[in-house]
Amino acid sequence: MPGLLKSAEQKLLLNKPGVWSTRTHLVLYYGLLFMVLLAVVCFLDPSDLRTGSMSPIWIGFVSVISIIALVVWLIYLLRFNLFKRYGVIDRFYTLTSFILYFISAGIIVLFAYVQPAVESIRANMAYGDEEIVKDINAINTKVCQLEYNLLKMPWSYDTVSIVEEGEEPRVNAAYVDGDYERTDTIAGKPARHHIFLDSAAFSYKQHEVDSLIKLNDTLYILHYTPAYDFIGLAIADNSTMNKLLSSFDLYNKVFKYPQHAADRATISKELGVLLHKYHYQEDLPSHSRNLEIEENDGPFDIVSKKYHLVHVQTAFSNIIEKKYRWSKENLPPYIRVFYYVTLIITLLVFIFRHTTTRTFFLSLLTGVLLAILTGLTFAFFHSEDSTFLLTIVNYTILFFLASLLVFYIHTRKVVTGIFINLFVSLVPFFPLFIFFWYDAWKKEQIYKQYGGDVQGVITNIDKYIVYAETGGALLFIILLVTYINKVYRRWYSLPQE
Amino acid sequence: MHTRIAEIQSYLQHNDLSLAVRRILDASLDTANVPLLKESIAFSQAYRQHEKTAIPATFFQSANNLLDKIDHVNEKLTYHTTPLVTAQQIGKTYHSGNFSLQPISLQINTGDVVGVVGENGNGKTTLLRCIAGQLALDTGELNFSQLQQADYYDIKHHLAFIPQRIPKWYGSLKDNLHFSAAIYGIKNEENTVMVDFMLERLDLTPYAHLNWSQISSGYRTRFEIARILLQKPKLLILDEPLANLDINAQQSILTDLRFMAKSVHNPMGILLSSQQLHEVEKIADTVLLIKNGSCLFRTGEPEKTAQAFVVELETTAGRDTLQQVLNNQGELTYNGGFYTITAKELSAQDILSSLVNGKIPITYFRDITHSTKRFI
Repeated sequence: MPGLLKSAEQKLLLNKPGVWSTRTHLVLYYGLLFMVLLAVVCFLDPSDLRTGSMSPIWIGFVSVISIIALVVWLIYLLRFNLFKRYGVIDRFYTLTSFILYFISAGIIVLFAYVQPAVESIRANMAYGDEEIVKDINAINTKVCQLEYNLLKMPWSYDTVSIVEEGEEPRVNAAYVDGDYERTDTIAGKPARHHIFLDSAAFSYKQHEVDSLIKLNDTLYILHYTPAYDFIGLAIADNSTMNKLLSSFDLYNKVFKYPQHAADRATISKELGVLLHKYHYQEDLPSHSRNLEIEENDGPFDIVSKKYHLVHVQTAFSNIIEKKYRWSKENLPPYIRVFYYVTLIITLLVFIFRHTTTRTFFLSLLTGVLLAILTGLTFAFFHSEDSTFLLTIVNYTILFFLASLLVFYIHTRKVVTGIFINLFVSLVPFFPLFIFFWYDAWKKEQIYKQYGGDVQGVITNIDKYIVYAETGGALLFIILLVTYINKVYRRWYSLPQE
Repeated sequence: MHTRIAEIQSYLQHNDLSLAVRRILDASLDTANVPLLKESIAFSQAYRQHEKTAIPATFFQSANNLLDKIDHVNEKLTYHTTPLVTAQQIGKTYHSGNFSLQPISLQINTGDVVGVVGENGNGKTTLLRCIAGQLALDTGELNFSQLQQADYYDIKHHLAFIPQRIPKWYGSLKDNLHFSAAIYGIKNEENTVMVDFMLERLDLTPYAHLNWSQISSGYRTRFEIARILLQKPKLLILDEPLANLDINAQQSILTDLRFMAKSVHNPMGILLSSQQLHEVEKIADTVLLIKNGSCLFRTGEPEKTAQAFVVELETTAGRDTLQQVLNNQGELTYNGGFYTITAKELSAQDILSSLVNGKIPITYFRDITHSTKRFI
């Protein structure tokens, strides 16, 4: 143990035994040290950034180390327990110890995030945001320029009649989740599909088309540009000044007007450089592609195979996945996994530290049995989601009421301990249960009233989930200081039967 | 001069140095003066260094200097006896129904040493666990008069229970002591000094860096006592503390406990159970004999005061010879190991004189007239 840490360890032991006994200082020191070492190793990882992410393998490997680290921490943690030794505790003791357990468990859980983070940093260092967009646009443009003759073809189009709302359409136009099923278009021979849409659906449809001709108030022809965006990755330009060129943009740039005699050699050379920059074929069976041009291949297939654009697209996709892994859109799942894994470990440790070993394991057993029995009952009676969630809410309330018994009894009973433990383990999720119950109940009400699709009953659902999660954490913190500390103190110190 | 100081000086004069050093440590603890405590720790450590060689003259000089300082501080301290816990008719019946502790009343004051003796399985541990708040009472009540509106956590914070089988602890012995002191509010330098003091006081200094598996069961008991004493409990309850100790350590621990109970600075009540009747009787203010869950006898009960003199005797002489020497004035019973002589006319002193005059070879003799041993 280094001198500074040893000195800190001694100071904490003599002055803050509650903090010392959690061993958070050791977890912080050795955990951060391990993460730095791991980060260095990950930086030295020779794997090519254009290949698929190695994160799943790394996470699996690091998770094993995390489990070992967790066990080592628990061995040291369980040696000393201020609460079970009836030491001096203040009202914030349970809160402080919970936070320290959370920090320790969090550091250990964070091990798994090091490699993905380093991989992301490496990708961002190697490839700039603007660079990616410019290169995609350049590749698409140069491919179109070089294959002008092959790719210049008529647009596909659909005919649309606007009908009254509720009128039965004569041609199928399925509506799924606010999007429209695309009509088939045979390359070079535009199909004359006739679609019947109501005015609301038509207004959505307008945003998809590249050109629209109004024949009369109810009859339109919608035109679509051929898919010139061979490399198309929608999220690549989310945060860039330059934007990806759409097929329509590429048409305007390359195909709209007769081209000047291009310097094919120069374009081809420039394209070669770009393709070389991004082309990477992984030696994996799942990544092998048939690049032989076959007789029935269309012009787009021929071009794609000729320039190995599938591999280039995959490489771009891999790079972008690594670069934007922590973007605002992708971050919430990572945070949730971290938060819930850490919270569950912390809750288990916290409960174990405030209860007897026997009661702890009986609580686990009771929880598992209750979950199985409840699940079976609901499966047997084909109950609805809302009923299930309401039952969980009721369980939490029931456990809370049962935990109150501790203030009226004079002996330490295992069953009361189980109620307290189950209440403590459910309460951080209580607002979430209520929210999901309300959502499910609302959906069921709408389904019963109108039938059909019941998606999107509550708009901005993610926002409300975050509110419920935050509310659960706050509720738990408040209860730690006001109720849970008292209930454990009372229960643990009661005489046995 | 304080009586205790004079007593310690007498030990020094008669070369009872180990006892003197221990008493000096106790006396310095009573001063609650950190520099004095440090000095006494250093003094004790110096004694240990010279213990197996010749004790230098400077040792005695240091001892007297230290005693002067302690005497000066201790003059200001006085000792008061206050009630700690009153147990009124407390009883306990286990659910299995195979044992029942009959209602027992008991009061323990600060400075009291109360011994509970009896054979195995007669309720000693049950009584101790009831008073320690570990077992719920079926009858009667406990009143901790120094604790106002206390919950069980408070009660257990202020009393300490050392079970016969000491629970395993982890980490080094010293870390455990630091932790125990710190969780009871002894922090910083005071913590270091107090831990060093306890290590020194209970002869644990050489073992401070060891862990559970590296020390003997006797030292585990000492460690547990050191740990508990650091918590400055008001009431110390020990279940069979002598069980794992050698004969010398038993005597030493018991006398130490007695001194600690009557500490001026931190007096406490001590309740201990043991099967070593004579050792416990030597140091206890009150001894309770528990048999079949009932308190059969407690010292000082006038109605059960002995009507005859009773002695135990171990000899190679036969029953007839003994009867002859005692002129048939006593009743003899033999349990295979020793004789018990009960005599109304002859006192223990007279019996011993008769035996010596009769040239009876005696290997063991004990007057148990006032001992609980009479009832076993």
